[in-house]
Amino acid sequence: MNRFLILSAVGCLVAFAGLWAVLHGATGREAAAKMPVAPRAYELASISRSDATPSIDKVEQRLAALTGDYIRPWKQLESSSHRRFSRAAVRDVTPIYAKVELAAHSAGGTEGLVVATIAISKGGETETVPCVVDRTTNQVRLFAGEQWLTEDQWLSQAPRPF
Amino acid sequence: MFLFSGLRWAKLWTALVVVGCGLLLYSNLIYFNGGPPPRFLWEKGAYAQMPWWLAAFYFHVVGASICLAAGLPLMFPRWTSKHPAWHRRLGYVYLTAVLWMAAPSGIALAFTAKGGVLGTLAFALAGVLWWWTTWTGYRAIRRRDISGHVRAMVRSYCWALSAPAFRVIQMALFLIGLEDSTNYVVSLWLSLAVSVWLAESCLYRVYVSTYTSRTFVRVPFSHQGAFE
Repeated sequence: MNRFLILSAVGCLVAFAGLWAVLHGATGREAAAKMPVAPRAYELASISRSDATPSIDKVEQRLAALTGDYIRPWKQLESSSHRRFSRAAVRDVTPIYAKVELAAHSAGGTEGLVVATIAISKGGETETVPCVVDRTTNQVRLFAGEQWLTEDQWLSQAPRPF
Repeated sequence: MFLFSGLRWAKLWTALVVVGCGLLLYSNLIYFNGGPPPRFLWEKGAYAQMPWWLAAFYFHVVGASICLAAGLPLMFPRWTSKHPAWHRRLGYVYLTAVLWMAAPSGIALAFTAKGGVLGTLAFALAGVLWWWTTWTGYRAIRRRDISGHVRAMVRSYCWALSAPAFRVIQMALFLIGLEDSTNYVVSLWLSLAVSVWLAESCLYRVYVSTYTSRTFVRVPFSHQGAFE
C-alpha cells in the first residue's frame, strides 16, 4: 500500500472518530437539555390537582393534547423532507387526522366521569377509541385493542406509517 | 462510456447513467441542507439517534457521493487516455472514498438495514464485494497489470452504480403497485443483479467478443496509453 492510501486511511479514521465524537456530544447535550424529562403536551395540558372538578373544556383540551401526542410520530413523518430518488419509501404518507368528541350528557354536567371518543382517521379508515376521564383523580383510560389502557400504554401504541 | 462500449444506443445508456448519478447526488443534498429531518432518518427510528450509526451514515453518504462523481469520468477511456494525471488523481480519490469511507460504513449499516435478513445480506454482500473489487483493482495497477485493473475497476464502479439502479427499480416497482417492504427487498437484489450483469456483460463484450480467447487478457484498444 502506498503512502497516499495510508495517509488517506488515517485521515478517514480520524475524521470518522471526530464525527462520532461530535455527534456523541450533540446527543449528550440534547439528552441533558431534556433533563428533567420534558413533559408531554397532554401533561402540560393536564388538569391541576387542586381543581377538584375541572371544567368540561379543560377535559376536552387535555384529550386533544393527548391525541396530538398520539399522532405526532405519524405527523412528523408526514412533514419530513423527502425526495423520491432515495432509499426511503417511495409512497406518500397517508394524512392522519384526529377528533375528540365528548358524550352529550358530559357537556355541562358535574359528574365525576366524562365519557368521550377519539376518532383517528387515516387513508379512509377511522378507528374510534372510547375513553373515560375521571375528573376527581385526573386519570384517563382508553379502550383500544379490546382492553383498557393508561395514557402511556396508549401512546406507546402510536401508529407509524412504515 | 466504457461500460456500454459495443452496445446499441450506448450514448443513450451513458446519458441515463450520468442523469441517474446526478439525481442521486442531488437527492443526497437533503441530508445536509439543514431542513426538516429527511424521511429516511425517520424510518430508521432509534438508530438515527445513535452517534455511531449517524457517523457511519453520513460517512457512507459522503463517501458514496464522492466515489460516484469521481468514478464517472474514469469510465470514459478517451478522457482518461488524454488526461493520465487526472486519471491517477481521481483514481486515488475514488479509492479513498470506496475503501475507507463508503464500503466499510455501508457494511456497518447493513446490520441495521431495512428488509430484515435479506436486506442485511444484500447490503453486506455488496459492501464486501465492492471493497474487494476496488482493492483488487488497486493491487493490479500497482503490479502494472492493466487488464486486471480495468476488469476490477469496471466491476467496482458497477457496484457503485447499484445505488442509482436501486432507486430506478424501486420507482418502477412502485409504479406497478408492489407493496413497499417487498418492493424494497426485490429492488435491492435486482440492483445487485443489474450491477453484476452490467460489469460482466461489458467485460465479455470487450475481452471475449472483440478478441480471441488467446488475447483475453489484452488491454482493450481504447485503454492503451491511459496508464502510461
